[in-house]
Amino acid sequence: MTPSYLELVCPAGTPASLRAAIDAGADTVYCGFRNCTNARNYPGLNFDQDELVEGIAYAHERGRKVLVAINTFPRAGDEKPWHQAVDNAAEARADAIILADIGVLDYATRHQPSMRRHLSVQASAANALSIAFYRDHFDVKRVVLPRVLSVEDVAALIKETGMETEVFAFGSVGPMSEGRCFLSSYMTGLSPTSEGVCAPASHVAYKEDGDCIKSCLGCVTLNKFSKGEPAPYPTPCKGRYVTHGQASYLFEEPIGLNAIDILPQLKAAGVTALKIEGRQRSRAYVAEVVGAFRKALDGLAQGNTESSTNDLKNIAEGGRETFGAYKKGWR
Amino acid sequence: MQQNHLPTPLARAAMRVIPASVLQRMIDALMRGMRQSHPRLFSNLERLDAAVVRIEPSDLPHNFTLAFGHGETSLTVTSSKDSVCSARLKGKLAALLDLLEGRIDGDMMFFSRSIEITGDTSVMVALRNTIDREEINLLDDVTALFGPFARPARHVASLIDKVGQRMKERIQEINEERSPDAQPAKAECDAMRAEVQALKTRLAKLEVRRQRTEVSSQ
Repeated sequence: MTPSYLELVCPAGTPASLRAAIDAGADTVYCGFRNCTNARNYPGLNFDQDELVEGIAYAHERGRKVLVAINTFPRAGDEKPWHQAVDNAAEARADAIILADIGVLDYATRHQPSMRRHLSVQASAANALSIAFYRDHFDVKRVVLPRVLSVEDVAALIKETGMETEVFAFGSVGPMSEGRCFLSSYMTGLSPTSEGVCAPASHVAYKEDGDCIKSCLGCVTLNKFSKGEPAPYPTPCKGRYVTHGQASYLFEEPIGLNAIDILPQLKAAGVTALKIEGRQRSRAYVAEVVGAFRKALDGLAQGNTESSTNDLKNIAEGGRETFGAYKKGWR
Repeated sequence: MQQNHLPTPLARAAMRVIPASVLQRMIDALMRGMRQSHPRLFSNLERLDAAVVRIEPSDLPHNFTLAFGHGETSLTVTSSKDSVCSARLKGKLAALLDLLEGRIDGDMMFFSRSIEITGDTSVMVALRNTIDREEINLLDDVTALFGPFARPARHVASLIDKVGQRMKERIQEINEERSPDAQPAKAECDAMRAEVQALKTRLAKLEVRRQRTEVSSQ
């Protein structure tokens, strides 16, 4: 593998996905524990302590890194799972922890000072003042930027703060403040910031309605799609709502973020790392997306500036892709 | 090249003709073998909350009932579509086998509607994630049932698959020769359908915007 043009940070929801990501060319893998400390707390997913130790050993033997996401917000008076997760990640010899809550950041700074700290996208730090606060108070080394910034915004932030940044390169797009969807809290009674999912599977239902399928979150019908029509995730932001008698995607259409064609621009903006989203998706997804980005990055590292073949459309939500906020075409 | 996956046409053809009682005995043997080769998969399944998933391969005469959780796992052949279950998974056999072996992303299949899920989504998510943790190769597990004849069985499966593939390609060639414009026309049709859908969405948005403007100007 040639030296990475940009660090490729890839998702792993299971040990099998971690191995798939490493084998497909990830520089770094991020994962989380099987509990409420993890913003992808889905049933059957994630790592216990032994699996994390094994996964880190697999990565380190191949010269790669593992980051542990402890990126939800503790419930008042119940901080212990988050503190335990920080200590467990350190004990497993993770290369860094990805944190969002200032209390957890404070705990990690005081109790595991040598553990490298990254600021999770869940912290929604999207301006220089906010980023500088985390840098100065908790010695945060890297910030994962929210998906609301253009390439020019990203470049300006990097210039102003001097921070190492990680940006989303492939995955979902959403209009809300990262991880803080109040619509989801309202519909399910569960907070994405403390429970770790914006559409808890326990509240999602698909119901047959003649030739159509209805997707529901709690008691709200989010969408109704006919046979052959692409289906989006059952999240409130991808719901098709009826206003003035017309059903339409009011907030966000079912479409996936893919920045594979603007990697040179992100590099020029000063970005350090690219994040692939999808810990809740399969190892087949991980292998396919990581492989495509590895190929593109290796090509760029060797001076091949021609656009790589982008075959990821089928795996994106809704089978369609966008640059998202990186290129704000509506401006 | 060595065959790596269970040939779907062969599996489908066999399951179409084998009576349910015989198929059940084969599945019982396969489950016993898989319990030996994938002990972690079974312990993970048995740790889940108790649930029953009905699997409905749309191109087979049989359905399957997978019960797991609370220390037990079983797979039963059924012809009924009315039995009580926590969730239902429907799709072509090839899609279901791809999912089982982790060859294809379940979300992608869901987006494209290659599979359909109804019922308790948390059950399906837990099942999908638990299976995806394990690296399953069904061909290995099926041929292991042949004991010392596993290698010849694998070879025979590979041969049958090759012949099947060749037949499929030849049939496709014949169809294309008969109707040379069929394929481009279909691709064009799909592209136009997608474009019409995008235009419909834009139109709906414009209509909403127009109505909002009307309301605000009143």
